[in-house]
Amino acid sequence: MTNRREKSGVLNVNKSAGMTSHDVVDAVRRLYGMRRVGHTGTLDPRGTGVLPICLGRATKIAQYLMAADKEYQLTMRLGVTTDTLDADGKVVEERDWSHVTREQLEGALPPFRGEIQQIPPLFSAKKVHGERLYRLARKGQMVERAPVPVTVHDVKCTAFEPPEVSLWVWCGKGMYARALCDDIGRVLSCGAHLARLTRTRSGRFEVKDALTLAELAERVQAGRGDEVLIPIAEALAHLPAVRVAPEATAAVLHGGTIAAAAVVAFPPDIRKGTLVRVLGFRRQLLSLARAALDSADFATTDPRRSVLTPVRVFGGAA
Amino acid sequence: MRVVSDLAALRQRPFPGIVCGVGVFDGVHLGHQAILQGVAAAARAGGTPAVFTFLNHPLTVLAPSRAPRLITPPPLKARILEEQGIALTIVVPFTPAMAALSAEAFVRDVLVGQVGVRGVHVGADFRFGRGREGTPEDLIRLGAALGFTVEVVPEVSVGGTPAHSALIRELLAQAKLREAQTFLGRPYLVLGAIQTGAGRGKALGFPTANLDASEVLVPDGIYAGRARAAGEWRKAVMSLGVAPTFGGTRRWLEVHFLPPLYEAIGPGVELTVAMLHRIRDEIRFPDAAALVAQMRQDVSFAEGLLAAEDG
Repeated sequence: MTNRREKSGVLNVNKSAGMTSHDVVDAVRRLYGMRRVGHTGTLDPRGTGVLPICLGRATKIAQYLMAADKEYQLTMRLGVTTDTLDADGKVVEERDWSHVTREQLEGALPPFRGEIQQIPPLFSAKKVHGERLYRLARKGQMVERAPVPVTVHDVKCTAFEPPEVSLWVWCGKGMYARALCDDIGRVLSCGAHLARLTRTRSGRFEVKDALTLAELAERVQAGRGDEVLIPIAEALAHLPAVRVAPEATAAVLHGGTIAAAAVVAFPPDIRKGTLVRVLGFRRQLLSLARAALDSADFATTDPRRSVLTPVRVFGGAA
Repeated sequence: MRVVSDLAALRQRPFPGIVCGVGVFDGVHLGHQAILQGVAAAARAGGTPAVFTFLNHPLTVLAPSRAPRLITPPPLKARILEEQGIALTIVVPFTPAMAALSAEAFVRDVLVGQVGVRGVHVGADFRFGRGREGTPEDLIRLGAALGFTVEVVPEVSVGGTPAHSALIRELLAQAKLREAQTFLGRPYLVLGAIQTGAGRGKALGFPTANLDASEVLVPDGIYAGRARAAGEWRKAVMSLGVAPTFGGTRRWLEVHFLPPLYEAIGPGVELTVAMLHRIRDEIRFPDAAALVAQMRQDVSFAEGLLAAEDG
């Protein structure tokens, strides 16, 4: 008897409103009859859209998917602030919003582009002293929360229908849409909360390709559940790729550092510390590694110098 | 002048020797101007005269219900700072994250770490950091420890009364334009892009250029003043008030040039309006003829007021 090999890969799930991210994980566990299932970063219960779910060995790459860039389409409600910063909370204050013009809104957005500081919302899954903030908040405890740097690559107004304003946001890891709406509301001097949120992209996963749980159940019942599993190598395709020479493959798979001489192609726009995919000569995924230098310095570096530090090795089977 | 809002972009130090006025600077009144003059003078030897300020009033975070409307909304403030000789304006949102920084963290991480200040100039009433814990004395101490100079500028008084933004807002709310002007060191200004109007004025022989007036601090009514379009200041009479628009009521500043301008300025053109005199309250008229008669009177009254100034 041979053990049936455990399934592995990533599902591009389109979460519907009202479910927690963990509800989605549970549903996928039942559908696929697997224990090893994990999501790649919480999407608020009210939020809809892309929630990549990792199965089997792919749970090991969840942290790298979590760190991927994301895009959101959100709607904020001007003039009303709530304790949770979204529509589920208790109203804290209502203020006049009628002075807000589209020009003012557009003028308020540029300062939110770039690296910004956010205070994690009191009602959030962030852990402080080992406990989730929302648990502490429910107990009525006020918690000192330190500002956290996050990156907003771009934010644009897509609809201005006061008191509702819709924004498209392209951001890095850990950006709180609720905190962004709260901050913009303060800049506009009227307050605001997050009314609706859709994650339209997470890494290489886009909402247009995402399947709802109902659609997923149909596929599984039709015996086609495996077809929608995205292989690990493809799920990480949002990361830049560095190709190494065939003779370096064995060393990479043993987890050694990679010297400049072993690299066939080092892409531009890489900065020291950037996470990259290390591909073999036939473009098979070997490992993930962090760059030890900027692209600009690659050409002039000593060929023996280590330029990539391994983070996780996949053994060529990914 | 450069306006920068991404602090991370300053970490590469694209501007040499930043000497920075730090504060809200709402109104950029005489007290603020004294600070800015010191900044410009200190930066003269190869430095960058700069201002670190906030997009929104800190009270929008600390006590939203008490947050005031701004005398100088961000675009106008940037314009005035430029006229004051400031080459770099760093304007960041005042958010709960900013409010949570300790006085020391604000200075060490933001002013020194991100901006890289060489000198900091503040007013004597400047407070900074969580709960307004930091005083000018703290700033001097931090400057000595972290290697930047500190200039604390005393407040400026006119006729024994210190120039404060809150006082100017109060004067404007009472339409005391002349008194507000003495503290501002310039007329009360409104900056905006001309919007398409309903064409009512034009039909009556009084064409107007219309600006959004949701942030204008003086009460509704008829005013005389001057307006600058395409670089040229012209006399004007204007009506400030609520007019119904598609989807709601909006407050407008309708500017009628003296003599009338029909074609020279159109939608999108930027207009700076100096509000100088209040003429009267808004009145509802029984018919167009009565309105036109009153407008003729307003125009000749405004012309008289403005001519007296010229003479």
